[in-house]
Amino acid sequence: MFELSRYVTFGQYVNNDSILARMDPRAKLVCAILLIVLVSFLNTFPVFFLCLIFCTILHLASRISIGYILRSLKPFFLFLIIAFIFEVLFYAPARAPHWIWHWWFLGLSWAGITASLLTMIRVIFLYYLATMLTFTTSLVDLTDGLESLVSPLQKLGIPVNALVMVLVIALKFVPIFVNEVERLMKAQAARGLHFDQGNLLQRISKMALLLIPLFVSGFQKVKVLNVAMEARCYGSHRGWHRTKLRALHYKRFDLFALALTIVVCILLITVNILTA
Amino acid sequence: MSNDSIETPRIRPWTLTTERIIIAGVLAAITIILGIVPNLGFIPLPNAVGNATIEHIPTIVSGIVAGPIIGIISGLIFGVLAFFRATDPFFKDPTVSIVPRLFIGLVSWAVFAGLVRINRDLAAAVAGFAGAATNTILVVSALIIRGYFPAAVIIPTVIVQAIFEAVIAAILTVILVRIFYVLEERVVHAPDKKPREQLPY
Repeated sequence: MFELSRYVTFGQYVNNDSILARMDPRAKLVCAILLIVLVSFLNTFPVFFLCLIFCTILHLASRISIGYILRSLKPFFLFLIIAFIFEVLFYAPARAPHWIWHWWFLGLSWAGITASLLTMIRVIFLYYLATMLTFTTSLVDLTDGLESLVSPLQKLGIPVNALVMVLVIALKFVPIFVNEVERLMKAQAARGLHFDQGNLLQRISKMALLLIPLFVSGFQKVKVLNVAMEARCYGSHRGWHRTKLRALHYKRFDLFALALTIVVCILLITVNILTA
Repeated sequence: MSNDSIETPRIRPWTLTTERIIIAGVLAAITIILGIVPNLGFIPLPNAVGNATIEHIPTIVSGIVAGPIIGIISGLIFGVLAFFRATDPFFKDPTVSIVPRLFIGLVSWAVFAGLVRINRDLAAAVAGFAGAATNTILVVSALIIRGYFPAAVIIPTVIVQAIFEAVIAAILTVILVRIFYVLEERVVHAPDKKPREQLPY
């Protein structure tokens, strides 16, 4: 139970140096958002078949094994099946359909099955696209891309840079704190403490034995990091412009991918309208 | 902590300093830790809902020690985390999981700033209680307004848990705010009460 750092995973980035992993995070974010918004509006079977072809190409480009993705989907499937059953049974169409089986407000109809099946396929595609984004992009890249995409909001006076900095610091500190909690748990267990026994008050006081050292070390790290960042002149003042160690540049492939995504989007919309 | 300690320069509550940004970041990391380490962020309770959460405590503390803007930012991050990790379909609705959380830090800051002149521990306790209560009340009313649960069902279900959460938050907030100010004063320097030449060093 104490090997926290082994089984607590946060972010699922697979760094396999594929084309998708090397893509500019801004371009990747824009593509992903476009596709996700589009997929949530599609509603015919042929268009989802086209989608499947596109996702297969995407998957080949990512060079991630299909089993890995399916394993991450596993806890999701049970939820999907239950949702499917409920949606079919409670399907309430605008006009009276041909019921296969009907009792009070529960009913089984072909229209209901088709509609629910489409919803499920849509949810699976949405989940796949979102997972693909997190599998091929590290969290730091993602926040970098997000920062440069939302930086126009800074001009409106919304502290976007501060928000992104908060996110970056949080993500960088998570592994450190996981180690810290692991060490604290081991230290307390070595003194003979059982974390999963006792009544409510005892449990709270045991929790405090972990939480308070965690916060103390957190506040101490704040002090150290504050001095380090002030010494390097971090801050945002009028006329200051922060540059980056790893500046983002659009490459030819990013523009190609953006163009391809837009073409695919237009194609999908056309097919969707034609087959609706 | 006596009142005649050295005067720290007053920073206006609505400004963003480097230190405040870092506080928000570190506390957001602790929020993530409380969520992903099994059994750390929950205290099992013998009732229908099962668990009293303490995940909102970093947000309350960040509102108290770093001002309203950081409180809102921490609330936003807490809400987004809750939104992404939710297995409950009701919490996949941003109006339930994100919007109510924005007010936790704001309310705790306002309560703390209002009461800190009387006594800091009292202010921290009341702010912790108010922050946790804000979380519960706003989330529950969002659930009711969105029509997921009728009010008569959900209020008796959560009331015991809500009181427990608020009391736990009040106790922990006092301790954590004290820790913050102890560290703050230790890092600055001890107040010099004698003139320089009478000091032993």
